[in-house]
Amino acid sequence: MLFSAEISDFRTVHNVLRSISLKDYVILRPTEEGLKFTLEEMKSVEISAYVPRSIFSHYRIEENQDIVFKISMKVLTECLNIFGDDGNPSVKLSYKSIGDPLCLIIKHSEENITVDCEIKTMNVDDSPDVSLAEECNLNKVVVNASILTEVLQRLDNAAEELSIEINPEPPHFILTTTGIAGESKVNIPRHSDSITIFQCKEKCLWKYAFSNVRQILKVMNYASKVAILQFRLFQWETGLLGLQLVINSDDKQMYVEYYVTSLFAED
Amino acid sequence: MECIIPGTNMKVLAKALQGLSRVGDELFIEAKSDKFSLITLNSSKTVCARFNFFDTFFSSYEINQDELQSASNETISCKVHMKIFLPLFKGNLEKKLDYFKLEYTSDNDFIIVKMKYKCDEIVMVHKLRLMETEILSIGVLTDSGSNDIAASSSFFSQFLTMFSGSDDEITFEINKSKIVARNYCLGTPCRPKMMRTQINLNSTEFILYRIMKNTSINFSLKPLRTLVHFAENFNLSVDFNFEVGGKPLAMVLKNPTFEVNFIVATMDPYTDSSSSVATTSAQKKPDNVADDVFEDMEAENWENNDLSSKESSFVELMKKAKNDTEKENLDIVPKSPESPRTKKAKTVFGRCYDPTFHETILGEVLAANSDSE
Repeated sequence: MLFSAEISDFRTVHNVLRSISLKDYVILRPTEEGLKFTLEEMKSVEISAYVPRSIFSHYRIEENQDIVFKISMKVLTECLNIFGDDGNPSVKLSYKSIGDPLCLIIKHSEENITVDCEIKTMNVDDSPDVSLAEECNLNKVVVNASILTEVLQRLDNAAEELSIEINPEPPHFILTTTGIAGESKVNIPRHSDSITIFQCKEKCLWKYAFSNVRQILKVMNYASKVAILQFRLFQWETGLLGLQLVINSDDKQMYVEYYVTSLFAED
Repeated sequence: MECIIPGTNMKVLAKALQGLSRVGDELFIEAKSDKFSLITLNSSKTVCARFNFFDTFFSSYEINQDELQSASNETISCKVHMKIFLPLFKGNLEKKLDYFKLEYTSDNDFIIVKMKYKCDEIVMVHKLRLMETEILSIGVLTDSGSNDIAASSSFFSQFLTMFSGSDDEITFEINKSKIVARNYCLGTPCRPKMMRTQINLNSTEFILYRIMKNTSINFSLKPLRTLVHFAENFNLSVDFNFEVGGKPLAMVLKNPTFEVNFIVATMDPYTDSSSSVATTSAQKKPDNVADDVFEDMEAENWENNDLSSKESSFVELMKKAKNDTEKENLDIVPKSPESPRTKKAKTVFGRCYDPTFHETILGEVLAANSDSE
């Protein structure tokens, strides 16, 4: 058995997976630290949900194995949703060996009903597990998720582009959207209660397609904090935006990371 | 023009915009020295919805006197698309905002909206694109009719629950002692699958019941639903001021800091038997007739002496509708005996074999069909 894990209350994990299920396929990568779900679009957008080992009630993984496989996101979320909003089912995952299907056993918390699923797995072509968070970190701002969600949703008036400007001089943090309705702008003061960390190495103003950011707003509703990271990827000369969301599940935490490339880099 | 709305009044403004968006797509913003109005018209121009905010509604209301004097009708006005303005008001703004500020200077292409949040004193600025300015003045007085009835919003809300969502119009037969409300007109053939509703309302059920002239009046339920929905949020009583069927009816909500009036076109259903069908036809052919009636959207069209022109336009519509519906009458199944299903289906689908367009609608045929089909 390459990997097996059990989670007794997967309501939060389920909600998160449901709100990021925008693509056809999801790549699962069980590691020593936890289970990672990754979705990718055309190499310009990447979303990962990271469920640490501590959230599972049982977690067993074979040592020194680089386990990675791909399954249909739709099938996964439909299986996990088999009981709907009823009760609090527990989920047991197991992956026997490479090429085997992923087995799910979903047990209803009150009724004596068990659902057995086997989801076909596929090989993954190339997907190095790069944790971008540690690379080329230019600017980092950690904001309270509820205010950021409110601000981004209010800035969205059929918006097409979002620009994020982080400055060492005031005004420190400016979000601007443009679209057919006109232009909207907000400045969040650096020393406000909503900003817990502000690290700015140099001034960066980069623009992103708002449709990409809109995708992440659904998950942001579940988050407590968001880290906004601006990277410069030297080899491609594009700006990379990273959003790391911290989601609380009882007293434990899980994470969602979202990376999107900028429209063009500007200094 | 600069005005600041305190956070506590945001619920009124947000609900007002929701109501306005249900009526029309274009929002007229008018600022006068003592009041600020948000107005919209429906596409067929049979409903004019207006929210008037007095200067007491604002924590600050500043308007440049010189700009006012030079503006037409002493009103600073601009027009914005509902789809651009409405999204700013989603969610519970009264809990999140300290204030909401509007800034506009005549002849600008943009209107500036500044939202100040309670949280961390964050200020968000929106620069919204405006549409080409149009001067709008609907001069119907909301108290010009000799008949006046008023009741609480909950009364009207309950009244509306008696009608189904598919009921478009309502007819009130009004006399000094009671109102008979029906969702159909007496004497019209029964439409299949339609439930006929009649409600008798005694004059004693109203807060105010002053009827000088008995009348039958038919009007659209949709604006009434929108208005009552707004009124319920703030527990306002709804007042109807009208003359007779055929002349406009004003639905009014009053409050110390703002006033709402919806002016709707009406008909007297008993002057023409096919009136109910005509109203829906009016929706189908809006602009041609509406343009004649609302030339330059000047006030005169609404005043009493020019209503004859509006009535006659409705009569024209009814005549046109009669010709169109004569064909359709063939499809209406007689009440008894009930036709067997197959016959009905043939009659219904028979029209599929008719040519799609008739010369009368298209005019002269410029190029004949190349295929025989």
